[in-house]
Amino acid sequence: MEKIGICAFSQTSVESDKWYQRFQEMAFEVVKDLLEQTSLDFSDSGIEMTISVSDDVFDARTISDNAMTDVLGAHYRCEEKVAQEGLQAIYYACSVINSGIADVVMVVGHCKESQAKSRNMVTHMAFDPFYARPVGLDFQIAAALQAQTFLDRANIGEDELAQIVVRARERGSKNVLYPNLTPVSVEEVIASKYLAKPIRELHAYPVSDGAVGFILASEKKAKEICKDPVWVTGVGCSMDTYFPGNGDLINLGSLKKAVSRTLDRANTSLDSIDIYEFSDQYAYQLPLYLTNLGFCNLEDVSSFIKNGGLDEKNINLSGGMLIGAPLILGGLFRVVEAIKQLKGISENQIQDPKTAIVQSSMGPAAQFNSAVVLSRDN
Amino acid sequence: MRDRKREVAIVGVGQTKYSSHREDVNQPEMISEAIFEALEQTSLTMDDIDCIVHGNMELFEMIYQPDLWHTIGTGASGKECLRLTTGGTTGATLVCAADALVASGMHDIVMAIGFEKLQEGHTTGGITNMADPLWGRKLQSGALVGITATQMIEEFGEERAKKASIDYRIIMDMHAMKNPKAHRRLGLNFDMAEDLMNNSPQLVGELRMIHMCSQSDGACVVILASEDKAKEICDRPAWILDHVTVHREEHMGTLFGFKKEKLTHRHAAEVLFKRNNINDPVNEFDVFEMYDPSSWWGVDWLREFLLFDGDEHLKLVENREILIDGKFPVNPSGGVIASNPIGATAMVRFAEAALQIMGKAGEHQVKKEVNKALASGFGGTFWTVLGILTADKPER
Amino acid sequence: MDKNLTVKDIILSFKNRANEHIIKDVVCSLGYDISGEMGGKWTVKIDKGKVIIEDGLNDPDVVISMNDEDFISFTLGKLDPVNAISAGRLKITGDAQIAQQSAKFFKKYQIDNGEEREELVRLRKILSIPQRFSTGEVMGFFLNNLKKKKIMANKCPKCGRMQCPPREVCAICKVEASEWVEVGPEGRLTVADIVFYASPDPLTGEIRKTPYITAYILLDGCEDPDTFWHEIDPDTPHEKLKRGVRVRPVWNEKRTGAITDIKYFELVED
Repeated sequence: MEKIGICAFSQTSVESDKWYQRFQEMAFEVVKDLLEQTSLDFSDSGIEMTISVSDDVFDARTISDNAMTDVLGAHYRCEEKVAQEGLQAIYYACSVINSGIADVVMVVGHCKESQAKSRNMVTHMAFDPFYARPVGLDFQIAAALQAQTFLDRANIGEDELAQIVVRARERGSKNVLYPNLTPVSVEEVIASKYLAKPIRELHAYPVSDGAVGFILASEKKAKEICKDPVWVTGVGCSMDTYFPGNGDLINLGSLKKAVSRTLDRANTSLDSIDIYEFSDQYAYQLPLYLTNLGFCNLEDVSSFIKNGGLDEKNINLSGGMLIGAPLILGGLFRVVEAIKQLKGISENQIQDPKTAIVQSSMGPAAQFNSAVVLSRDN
Repeated sequence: MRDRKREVAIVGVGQTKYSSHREDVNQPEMISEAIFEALEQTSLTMDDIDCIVHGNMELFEMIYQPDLWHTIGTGASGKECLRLTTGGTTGATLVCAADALVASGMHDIVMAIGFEKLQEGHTTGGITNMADPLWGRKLQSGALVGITATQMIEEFGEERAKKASIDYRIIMDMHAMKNPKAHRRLGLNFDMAEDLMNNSPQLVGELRMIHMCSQSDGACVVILASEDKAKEICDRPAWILDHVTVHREEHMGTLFGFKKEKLTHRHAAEVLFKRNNINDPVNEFDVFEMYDPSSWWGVDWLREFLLFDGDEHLKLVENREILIDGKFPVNPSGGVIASNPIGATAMVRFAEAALQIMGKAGEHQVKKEVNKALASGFGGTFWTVLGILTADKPER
Repeated sequence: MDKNLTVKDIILSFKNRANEHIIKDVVCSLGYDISGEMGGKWTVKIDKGKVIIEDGLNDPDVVISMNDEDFISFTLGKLDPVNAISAGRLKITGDAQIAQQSAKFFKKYQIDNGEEREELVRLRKILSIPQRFSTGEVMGFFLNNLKKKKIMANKCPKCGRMQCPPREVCAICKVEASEWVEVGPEGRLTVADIVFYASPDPLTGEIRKTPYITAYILLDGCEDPDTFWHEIDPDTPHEKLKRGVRVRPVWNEKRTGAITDIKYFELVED
């Protein structure tokens, strides 16, 4: 795969309730910023195509991109909506640019988890109407089943989970674009009420509203548009079987495949990567992903976390998705954080990273996984 | 835009029979029927498929991220997947996306799946939810618009306009009678025109029940392959020459002023034909699978797509040139009026156009040799996706 | 198809197929006018749970007409009613709503051939997720002004078009639209659509009274073709809905900041 360049990135603040804006205004903040950064316009010599990310069920709007065409510059132009985990918009943008169909693509995603009475009512609708739905499953409950299995097998508990949350929030609180986030203590985490045992309220990513976007271009165009593009060198994804529990809940085949496909396309290996951003919707997911990808064994999870393994290996330096992101935009917000690290402007900056990998998941118990490798020139 | 990295062709097509009574299958089962047909046609297996592109109009069935559940019927397990939804144009967008995925070199063989199970939801409710909740939802009457009929009657006179739209409807049904997959096959003939155009119950203005498309359940699958693979899989694949997507702003008011705004259909045709050196579309295309939600729109949009300015489009209908064995066959499949499983419908246009080029359309195969086909998708607030398929591999 | 099945068999079987719990409070009569060799005219009267079958059409609320073969196919679920109406093979005169509701009054006709029909599982559920929609500043300003009987448009700084309803950007020029201008309240009708068929509300099952009239109106101060989408007084005689005719809004007494604060537009008549 030929690398493509990210010439600009932008996000709105991520808040628990953006009651004062509708989607159009929220997304327009991002679009306006991207246009200002790049001085591009919507034309055959500027942004040729827009890929939007949104979900009809979350938006309660059939053809949710229908509402967005105005602000996305899509009047009499091409716009297509990726209705899947947002990282897939980058996967798709890679194929569009690599194919020659368009050289410059804008990606903008929006979502308000606060609009529906409960995001769990939305994810409840992902299940088949005959068996899994009447049983009462939603993504949170499926996660709880997976969490309990993992906690038992890795022999970890409240302490380790609380440490992950405390670390995440401490890092995320430094980011002014997450105004509702405050640091918490281990005691507060352990005392927070259960959502679905063993998942406690503070173990879960906060209900979030926000929009995020990027301008992506072919290598040649990217160098014309901006001084220092961040390169997307690999993309990949994989889908697992549907019924959670049809197999080992903690053996994430789709995660391993998604990451290995991404690394193949980027022609690199996992330990060559400098920083890792995982979309951990619930605290247990972070160590779960790590054991699946070989960062540590099941029996070593506790010591890995307690001895600062996350900091040492540069994992979720931003705090990960536990700091907040709407469900379908988890991956794209992690991409923003990864780009900031590569450009040296992160609130949690480490010394000189050159490559990053971003992962995100969708579906019950991480049924679908997606990943992206980013790198910068020296 | 640059030169394509490599050529892509449609090598296989699968469709379920479109119907309003598929209580015998659930959604994944329904989709798998179309998949098996496509695999059989191409002699491929699921192992050969690198990537699956999936789409529908999710608020109809109210399933969140349906591709997750559908893995039990799509064989997507272990594969790379992409999901796009753009309303009525979804099916066409999926073909465009599959094209990009293969042309990019990232995949060699991609399967695109469009489906809808409208009986498992509320169609007009789904469409009404397309409108802004603060504004249009209280006004919208679903997808029913009678204004085009009013405008055509004003321009051409009541008798001529009504006759053209009913004749178009009858021709679409005559085509559907030759398509075993079609949902509605009513057995209409021209003698019934007078009665139908005056007595069919009115929906909105002169848009009557007889003119309007159906609500169907069904799935359509299209398999796209790269240059080298295409020739191995299919004798006469349908090559993707080019496609264009044209969306519009949310507000539709500018379409209904005193002066008419240019439709996206015409804009798409202008852009696509110029890019591909097509100067005389009605003579250069051998078949047109047009997304026609009603016969009024079917007639009106012939003018827009073929870049006419007068009454040439009415003459195409009046002179019966749009019949399967006519000079410019339109919708040999019966079109959208005969079958409308919304998430699949736009894909069916490309699938049927591909079948025509491949020579595999069976009883509704256009008799003359089909070398260049046009296919369109429609949806949203008057969006258009327009594509050209060819029998000869494009030389760029 | 059972060659011995007659139209009369089916009509008489209504007595045995009643869904008692559904018809216990229903009072209505269905007329069947069946043509063809096996044809005939019958009235099926439903009187609070009792089903009475009479010969002839005795002032029924609705008459269902089709030929004998079609009637048998339809009863056995082999003829789609919507297709049949479209093709003119099934005609309904009188109270069409009763015809629609009568589908629930009787159980499906079963051909008695001794075989057990396989029961397919069918789940019926109404799905809804409660929502709280935000108007945002731009729409919010517009809706608030409706309370004051003002129609506000926002202007594109580049092409000058007045956007009503207002949007954050001008989609054509792709720039932010910011200036507010009051338009209307009167305007001219550009085109009207008379709606005869209203779909039942998916949540409440309510059906709007028809015909009603949706219309596009070019408000004073707006430039063609930036029209405003609303409704015309449903009692307006249709012949008067001519292109260009002047209209003005009729406001609701009680206004809440919703598009329905304008009840509808009426013709300005000299």
